[in-house]
Amino acid sequence: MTNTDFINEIEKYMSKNILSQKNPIASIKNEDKILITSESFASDKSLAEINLISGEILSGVPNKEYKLHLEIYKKRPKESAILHSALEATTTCSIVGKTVYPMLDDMAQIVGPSAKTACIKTKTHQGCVKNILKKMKGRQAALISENGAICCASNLDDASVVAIVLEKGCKTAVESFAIGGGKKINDLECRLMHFVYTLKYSKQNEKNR
Amino acid sequence: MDINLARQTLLDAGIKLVNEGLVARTWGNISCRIDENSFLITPSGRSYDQLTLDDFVLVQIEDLSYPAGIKPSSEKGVHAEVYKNRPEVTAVIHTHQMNASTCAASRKDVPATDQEFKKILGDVVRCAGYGLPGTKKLKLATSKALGDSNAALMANHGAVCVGKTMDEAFLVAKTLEKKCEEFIFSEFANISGIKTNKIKNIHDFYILKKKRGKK
Repeated sequence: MTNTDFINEIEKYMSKNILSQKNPIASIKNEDKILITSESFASDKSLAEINLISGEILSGVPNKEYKLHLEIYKKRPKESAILHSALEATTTCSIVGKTVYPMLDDMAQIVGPSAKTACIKTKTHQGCVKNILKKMKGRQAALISENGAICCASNLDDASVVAIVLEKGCKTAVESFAIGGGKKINDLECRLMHFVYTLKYSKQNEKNR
Repeated sequence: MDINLARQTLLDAGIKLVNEGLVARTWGNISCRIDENSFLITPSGRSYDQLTLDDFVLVQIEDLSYPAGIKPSSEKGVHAEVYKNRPEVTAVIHTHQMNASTCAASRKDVPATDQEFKKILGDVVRCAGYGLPGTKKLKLATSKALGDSNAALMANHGAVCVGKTMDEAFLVAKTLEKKCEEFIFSEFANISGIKTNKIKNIHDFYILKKKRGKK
């Protein structure tokens, strides 16, 4: 993906409110480098490039969150795209700070058996990163306390789907609460669906032709 | 229905389904009855915007068999059960629409509130019991919940909408979404005492209650 393509995609996600209008944060991995939005992306559309192995900033001024993205790419080699979702219901659930359990099959399939909230009020940056990675284990996303969610996947399009499905899961949790409460899907069935989706169904768009 | 007409109907319906926000990407599925023995359905796991006329799969109602090659939607059994029990139905849409999904997550039946609801959907939209996607349990539960109405909720999953034509099935899906939204606000007013049609009020209520520790 070229820098221009990446910028166009980021603008598309900003227009859909997947990414924050004020501080959009997104990155993609390209071999041994990552491309990430800069601190000033909202005003100047600038990107920064970072060496994945050494962490050296090769160009631009990356968003402050770049160390988290670097660690996710290092610890989860299958991921090649990360979005910091700022969607409404996702943000509501991140403010509440409790784990969101799937009440819809598609959340279980695509996000995983739950979306846990990572507290980022620890004293060190390294502590925050460690906590977020722990909460993401076996999942494609984690809510960030009072700050939306980190969503990742093997490409940018799939990362946006994770963000959209997480939003739907959070919206269902919030709105079903308003009509007396939703029913959670059994944890074992959630794990089974996530496993089957990851292994088989997610590849159907390419294979089933 | 003529099979070539059915292919074009499904191609157009897939795009409409996404454009109207009833599904996203590869989710949901649509079918058209061809005759008393078979129906044509969307393939498994494919994006609607990439489909061609040749991608739809002919499935036999009785034994769910289909020609070698492209796999049909894993929910073909739900469609077959509808065609088996409802001879007048020629179009079935399985959606993941938002408001219906919220009601389905609550596993609540949505009762008729006005003449529009009764005329288009029936006296009540029932919620089927839960079954894992693609299973016999889901197929039978959905068929039972649908009965002789035009829509049913699928617990923790979405909705199924039927019609004598594809346009009619779409009208059912759109009406269902509107009526489920009205149901959510009406139930919210009963529970919270807040009469509103703004989602933000529901979100604020959720934050307030959850922060106070209500489960």
